[in-house]
Amino acid sequence: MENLEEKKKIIIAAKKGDMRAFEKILYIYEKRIYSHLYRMVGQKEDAEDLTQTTFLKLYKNIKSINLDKNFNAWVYKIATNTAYDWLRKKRGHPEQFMEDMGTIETIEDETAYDMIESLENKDAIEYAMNNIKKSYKSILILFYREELSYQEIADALSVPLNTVKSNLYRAKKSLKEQLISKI
Amino acid sequence: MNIPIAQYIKEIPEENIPDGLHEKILENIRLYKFKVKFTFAISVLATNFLFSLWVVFSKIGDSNIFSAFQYLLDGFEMNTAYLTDVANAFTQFIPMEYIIMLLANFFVMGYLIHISKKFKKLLLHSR
Repeated sequence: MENLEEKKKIIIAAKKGDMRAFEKILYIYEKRIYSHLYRMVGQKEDAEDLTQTTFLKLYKNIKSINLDKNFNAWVYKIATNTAYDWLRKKRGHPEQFMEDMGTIETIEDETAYDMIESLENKDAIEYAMNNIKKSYKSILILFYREELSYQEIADALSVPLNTVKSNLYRAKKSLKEQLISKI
Repeated sequence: MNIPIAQYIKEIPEENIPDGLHEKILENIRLYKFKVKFTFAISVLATNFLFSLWVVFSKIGDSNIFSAFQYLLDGFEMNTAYLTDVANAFTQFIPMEYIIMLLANFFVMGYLIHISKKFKKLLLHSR
């Protein structure tokens, strides 16, 4: 994860119109946003177009970013909304990437899924991640890698907070099941 | 021993971005910046054009140009002397510099519209 102070300086410079600073932001996020969009739309060419649109929107709106808020969440929110708009236009109806499952499960033993056995190696995790639903993979990445809070994920994916909690729970459970089936 | 999932997930590689995507994004942003400046220039020129049009029309409105032309039309003849008379009468009511200003604005506007169409194509091809 990049140095937060350094990143803040880059964002401030980009807000002032420094193109080199914006390019640094592009280097930091292009791969992540492209992957996120690819998981959402499932086609490389479409993900490529949407990545371009996302960064253009980011450039147009960077002056309005509130530095007290999580920049990662803001970038993901722009990307997600761009993909939703595109899906709506292409398929003619609004489509949610993340299913609203309600709060059907008690999430009391969620922490059980936060840990994995050390014998489950990196390849096994990668395999498991590639075999769970794409929306689960996204939410796990946003939560663990991007370190976004539940609320930030809800904002970034434009879904209710409870949907994030239930999906995250199911994602962890699904990952664990994949790992067990691999053994 | 148990290890946090987070540790593993952080290490999983993201998708590789397609070749040239980084450059395409920057190109789009440069074109957007140009588009903003271009739109500003067109707005200034459009204002200028409308203003010059308004000046010429107010000159026409203030004068008795229509009765003068009616008089000229009544004595219509297809020869050089007659056409010179018409041109002289016209420039008497509307000074030549106003006409030149209006025509220049008109051609610049037309040219910019032509360029903006090309520019639109350029934006589409950069995708």
